[in-house]
Amino acid sequence: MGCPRCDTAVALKKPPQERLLKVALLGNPNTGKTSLINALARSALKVGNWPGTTVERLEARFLHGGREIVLVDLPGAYSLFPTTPEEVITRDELLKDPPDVLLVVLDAGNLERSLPLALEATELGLPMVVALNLVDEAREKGYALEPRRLEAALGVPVVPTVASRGEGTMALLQALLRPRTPVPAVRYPPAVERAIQALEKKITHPAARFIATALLAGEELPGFKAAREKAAELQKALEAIGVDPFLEISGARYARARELFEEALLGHNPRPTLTEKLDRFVLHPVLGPVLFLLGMLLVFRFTFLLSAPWVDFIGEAQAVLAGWIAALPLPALLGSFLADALVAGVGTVLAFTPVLFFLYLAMGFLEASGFLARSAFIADRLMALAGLPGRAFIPMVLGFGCNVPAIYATRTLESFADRLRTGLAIPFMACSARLPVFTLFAAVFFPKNAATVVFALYLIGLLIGVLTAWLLGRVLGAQASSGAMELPPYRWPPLRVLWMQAKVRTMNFVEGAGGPILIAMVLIWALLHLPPGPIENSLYARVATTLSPLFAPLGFSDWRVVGALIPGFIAKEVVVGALGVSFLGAEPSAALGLLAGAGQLLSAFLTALKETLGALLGLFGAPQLFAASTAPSGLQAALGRVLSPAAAFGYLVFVLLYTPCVATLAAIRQEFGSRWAAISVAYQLTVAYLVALLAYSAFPR
Amino acid sequence: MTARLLKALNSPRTLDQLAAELGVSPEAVALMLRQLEARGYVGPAYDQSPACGTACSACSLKRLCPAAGQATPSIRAWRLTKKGEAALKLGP
Repeated sequence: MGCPRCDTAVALKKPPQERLLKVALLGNPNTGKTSLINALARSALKVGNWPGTTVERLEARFLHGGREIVLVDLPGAYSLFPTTPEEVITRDELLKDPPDVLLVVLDAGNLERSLPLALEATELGLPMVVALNLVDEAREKGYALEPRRLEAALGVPVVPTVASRGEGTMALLQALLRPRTPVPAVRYPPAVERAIQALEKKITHPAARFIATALLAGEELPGFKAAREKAAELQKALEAIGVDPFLEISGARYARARELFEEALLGHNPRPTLTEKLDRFVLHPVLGPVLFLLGMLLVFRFTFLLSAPWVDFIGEAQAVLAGWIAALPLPALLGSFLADALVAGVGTVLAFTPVLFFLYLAMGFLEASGFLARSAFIADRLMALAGLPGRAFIPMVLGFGCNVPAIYATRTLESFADRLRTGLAIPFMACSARLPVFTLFAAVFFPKNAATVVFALYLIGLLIGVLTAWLLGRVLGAQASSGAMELPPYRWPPLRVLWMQAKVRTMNFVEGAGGPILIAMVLIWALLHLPPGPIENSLYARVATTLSPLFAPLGFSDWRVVGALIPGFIAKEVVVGALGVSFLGAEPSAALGLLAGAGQLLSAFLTALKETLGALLGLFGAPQLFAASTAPSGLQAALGRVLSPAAAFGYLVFVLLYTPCVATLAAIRQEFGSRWAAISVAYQLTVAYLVALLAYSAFPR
Repeated sequence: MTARLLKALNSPRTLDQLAAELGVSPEAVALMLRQLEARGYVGPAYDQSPACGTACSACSLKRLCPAAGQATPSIRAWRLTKKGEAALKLGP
């Protein structure tokens, strides 16, 4: 007999009460899992992504009863027989890295629909606890439920909770320390049950019963080769006697879910809920669209009014850094590289972060509160013209503010085809960065019809975007979305979680898109500054001169006008600046002392704070649609000499439709892959060229 | 339960009609339809009519279709696909 103290495995193994207890939360979307984690953990929330995906992963660690507990929020799922990428992640995570305890979160107000997932969970062979959440909403809907009956039927602790108010969380924490492994709660028809049991013998995994049912039903599961071969044999045998295994297995689960629901239900006295009362206005055929547009305007204003002071602050910080660099005894070219390539590159990346952060806050609120689903419902018919679901309208509208967060907002769409079609349509929406170019040119060439010309450009962008989505749908053979639309009840989301989600999503942009933007900035700097000397001799001038004949059919061939389109690829804000530099010459950054710069930064920070407060107060004020142009009159005169009104209109259409900025491109690459990013650039350039040609040719002279 | 739903879809049905026929909540029916649609047993009723949205007067579903006469049907009516019909015939 060996010495127990000499057995390393025993010696190294911590007593169970000291080990980390991993609890995974499984539940339908909108069952309040995030609120439950927030209520249970109270602190130390961590938001990230599931490996290799953009699906969010919420995690929280805390101590309870002397145990360190880690709560992991699995992506929302209706079934472990998946129909969405999120459900695939959830199923795979449960099979590959099973938790110590499975916390199944049921929606008490929608119990019948929540139960099939709980029944599937009983087949995973894991210790389990059930949180019967949202019991307040169930009461409001008139349901009287008896959790103990559910507990008896499932054989695991069932704890009623209202996560948003923290009710039942202490009892739930106690239950998590005393979970029970359920006996599988569904009995299948005899022939199917025999096949499942035969298959289980081929599987060595704690979730053997679940895996056997999945393979027999024809679900795709990685691994389990021998069992899959056996499952194919059994499937054929069942089909020969008139049994479709998938239908029998899912049918038995739904039937058992109905039985359990009836067992747990003491009575139902339906009465109109607050959600139903509000929906009478929000989903009203006339009032609904008005409220929806007002809501979108508010999101738009919240995002851009609150982010503008911080974008300005980042610009000021850039200027201070450039000033400090100018004060250093460095060779002119190195100083220029540091100030105009590196600082400007990082500044360009950071300048997007306030916009993204505030937009994510607003979008997170809309999504978690239930308003997003309703906006989608209202816009559904309009978007159906492009074969897109109503939800696609929101990213498209956001594109008028900034294309980058709009591309990320396509994540709210369920299918990849819908996300891609919307994502490739968004770059045609005239973002706010294009407005300075429009207003500068409109003031010079169309002084009497400036507003009409700018409005026409917005419409052209929208039209091309919708056409692109429709065309891509035809090319991909995508089906119009047809699933039943779910309208969750209105809820007040946990603001702390919204804040953290916004932070993580913004950081994702910096990590994913920051590198490409920086590289592009360095390339443009090299074009402008090499070889050293006047801009007329630079690579930039040479490339622009080479490209000029290509644009002659569009009415503009001056190298300075064509050249401005090159840095415009980085960001449309730079087009006006590039025109200014090539027509009027560049102004070098003035040297700045350390203290003077720090003072400037502090003052800019305080101004940003003050303006943010002012923006909050002005959120409900009248919108200011057109920003004043800051273009120098010298540039306007110079442009007037080299372009005709028709050529200027062609130029504006080209600026509207060609690749909006490198950040949008990086966002497309991050969301849809390099191949689609390359296709989108080629497509945008082609469309921009052809439509600009048409605009120039058809312009009344 | 699923077999009953397929039988009910012998002729096109909306979600609420199916819920009433099966005696279950519309949310539970939506869940079943979601899984059956993803596996090719059922599909939206209007997909099978090439004239849908353009020639409602000739459409056999117009009585059922809340969007009849509109340019784009947003109807959520369901019917069996070929696979669904075959599964129904397969029954013991």
